[in-house]
Amino acid sequence: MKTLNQLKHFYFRFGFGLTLEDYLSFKKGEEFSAHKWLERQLKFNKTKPLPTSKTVKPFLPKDLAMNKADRQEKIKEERKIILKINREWIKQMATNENPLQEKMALFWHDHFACSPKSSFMASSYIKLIRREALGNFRSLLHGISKEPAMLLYLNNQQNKKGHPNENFAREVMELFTLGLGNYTEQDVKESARAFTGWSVGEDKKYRLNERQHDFGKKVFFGEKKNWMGEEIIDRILEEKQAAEYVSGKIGKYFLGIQPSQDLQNELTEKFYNSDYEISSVIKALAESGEFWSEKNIGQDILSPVELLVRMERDFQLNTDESNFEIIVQKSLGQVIFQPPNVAGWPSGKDWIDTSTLPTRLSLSRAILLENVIKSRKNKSFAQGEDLTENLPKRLKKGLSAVPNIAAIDNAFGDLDYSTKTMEFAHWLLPESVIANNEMIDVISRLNFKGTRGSLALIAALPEYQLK
Amino acid sequence: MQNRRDFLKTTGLVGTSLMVPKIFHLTSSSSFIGKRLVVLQLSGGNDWLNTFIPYQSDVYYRERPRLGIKASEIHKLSDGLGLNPSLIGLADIYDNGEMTLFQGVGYPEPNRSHFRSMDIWHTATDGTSYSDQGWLGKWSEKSKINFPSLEINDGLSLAMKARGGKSMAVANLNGIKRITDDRVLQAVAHSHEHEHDMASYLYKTATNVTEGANYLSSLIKLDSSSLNYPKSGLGADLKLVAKLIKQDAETRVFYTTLSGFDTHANQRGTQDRLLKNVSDSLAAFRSDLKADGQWDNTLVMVFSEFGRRVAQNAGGGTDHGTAGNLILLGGDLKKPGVRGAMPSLKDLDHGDLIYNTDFRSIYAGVLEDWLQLKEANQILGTELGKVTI
Repeated sequence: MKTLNQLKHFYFRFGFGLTLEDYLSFKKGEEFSAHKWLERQLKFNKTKPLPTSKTVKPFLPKDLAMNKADRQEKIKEERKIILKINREWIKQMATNENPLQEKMALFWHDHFACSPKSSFMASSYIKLIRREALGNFRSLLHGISKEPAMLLYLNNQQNKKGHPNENFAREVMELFTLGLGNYTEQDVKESARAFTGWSVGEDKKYRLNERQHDFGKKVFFGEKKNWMGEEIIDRILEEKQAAEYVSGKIGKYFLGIQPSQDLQNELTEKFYNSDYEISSVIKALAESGEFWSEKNIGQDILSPVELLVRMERDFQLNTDESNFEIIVQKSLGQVIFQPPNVAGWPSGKDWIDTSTLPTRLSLSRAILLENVIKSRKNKSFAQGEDLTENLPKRLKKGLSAVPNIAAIDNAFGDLDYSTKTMEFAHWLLPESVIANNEMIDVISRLNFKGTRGSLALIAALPEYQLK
Repeated sequence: MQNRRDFLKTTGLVGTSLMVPKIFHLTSSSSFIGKRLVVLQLSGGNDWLNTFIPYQSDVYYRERPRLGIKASEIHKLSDGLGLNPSLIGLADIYDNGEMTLFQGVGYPEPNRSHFRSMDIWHTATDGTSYSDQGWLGKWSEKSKINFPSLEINDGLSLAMKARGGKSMAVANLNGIKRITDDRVLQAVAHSHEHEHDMASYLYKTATNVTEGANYLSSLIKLDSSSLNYPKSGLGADLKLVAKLIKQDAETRVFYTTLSGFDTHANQRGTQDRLLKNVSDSLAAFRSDLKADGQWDNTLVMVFSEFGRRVAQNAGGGTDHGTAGNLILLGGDLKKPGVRGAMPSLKDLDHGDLIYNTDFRSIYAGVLEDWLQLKEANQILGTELGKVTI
């Protein structure tokens, strides 16, 4: 039996937070087994496809024959479809019965950071990382190395016999498997030759262009032979360092801190000995003392996407009529399919600085209060002040996200304002930060009225950013 | 023109806490002698060989049959170097002795990864050690200056980060106003001494933001007209920096960034557009500050995480390389012009230039000569000598 504190911790780290239903069942005293929950999540193998990914078509050479204006139009259209896929994925994260799968797919999108140029390639890429999210890292790596989006992103289209482009080969080792310092410049140059001709065909699928492939002998990790790209990948995975590097990164993702040396050794062994089964690492983490350690609970900061997903769930948002998900991602600095660079996004404290924090703190207020202000029907909260007037314009414009306040209200029943506020705090914030003096101080300085205001107040606190 | 201090005197606002951010513990302005550093980071690895072109080199044209820029298109400087035609806005500045162009700048065992190399430039460590603090962040920690360094960006760069460092980032002018007007932020900023680590970090950040923004906004209210800057992100960023400088901001370090220099394919058009933006923005910035008498107190430093390979690649671009240039601009340069030796285009390290000037020796000059730090090596960690700025 876990405490509420532990339950929230578990759901935040392996999912996107505690749902209202889960909170209420806990209050009723229902049993919860982390072990069983995890087993169920790991067994789950049906990936619900994103609706738009079923309809996308490649941008074929005949499409390129169109005139300039039409082509521009087509490119614009493509961008829109990519954003649509982005929104559909966010929706999946917020509603999927298997949050762990989406959470892990999000990890892989960061690990295999990539910015697809077309909707066809974006679909193919996202399909792979969602399907293999909890599967096998070897299959995932082989798959990702032949994803058209990735080959183009890392310039392998320009990697040709006699004119190698090392970008792809370097990142395979630096970012995907071994980490910096665990290979030589020579290894980069030689493996780049093995990946020559790995390109994207006219059908926008992977193909080996034999005319551009260098079939000569290469010296990789000290061995001279006619290395092919697939063999390079398998050879890299023979290195235990690959298991250490990747499992350490997964460990940090869930723990919020680098695993201790002991735990790291355990993760490395399990990952390596299971031939890179991703579930072996996740199970070991969930069973580790470090994961459940009090001092680790609530000590990590939500990424922008995690914050967005939790808000969608916490407030039961209806965003069908707007571009809400995209605007929020842009405002907070993390847009799906647009990582800042090949190393992916920041994490933890690095998300927070003097410019991102104010936006984060104002977001939930905008969502919960903006609609009321627009409708002018309810001025009861905050004495009719427009608390959102200082929000970035683009944020205000796109904030047609309608929270389902009635549903939340009904779920809690008839409570007075301060009891309700504390209920929201216990549902939404880490236990250790509730009811400290600072929080009470801030609450007393602000005066938001009604259920809406009470929820906005809790969500406006810095503590709402924690996981 | 009325500056900030005059305004404060005439309105009787001097000495009110309104103008003084608490966390910065301002005591007096006497330590401030008005020298400011403005960094411009070119992200992605600028191809310096097509920026300042060695137009007398046969090797250059041989290795870049498609990408090489013809001597006839080039504005010639000295030492066999010429300006990319898109940089023509810098010609005047160079000819006037307001530009220093260092050649062969790099560091030992160069790293060709964007992130690692940028980290090395940001932390001023050698390639073998890691740090989560930046050289300018550490400077703000060690210096007696009590005002926040300012980055015009969505977030703070590693170069500006330090424990307890006094740096803040705002994306633009509205970013400052939004903070000063935010009721929740003001309430949060009043709370201190949180026991929970991560929550405490958030509360402290909120306090820093609020007080820093209050200070900056007190300057910007007195805005004056500005010259025509290019309508680009960089133009707007430098315009904001100039506004603050012209209002006597006691902020001494400003940081700006322009991205997009990772030109693996079809480089020419992309790089030319970027360089034109750099050149036009800097030229406007310089005219703006010159007219205000502040150019002599300003040092602009332009750098990138690495240069690019000597030979063009098959895609009409260039791959990650090593050494490159570093530019300083300002009205008070002791030794302007082309400095250091051009690395050989023939004797290469894996196809890349071999550096001869460690970038940290230029940092040492900036820290000691310009930012008045007594011993730069307490930040740089090593004794590499100092280049006169």
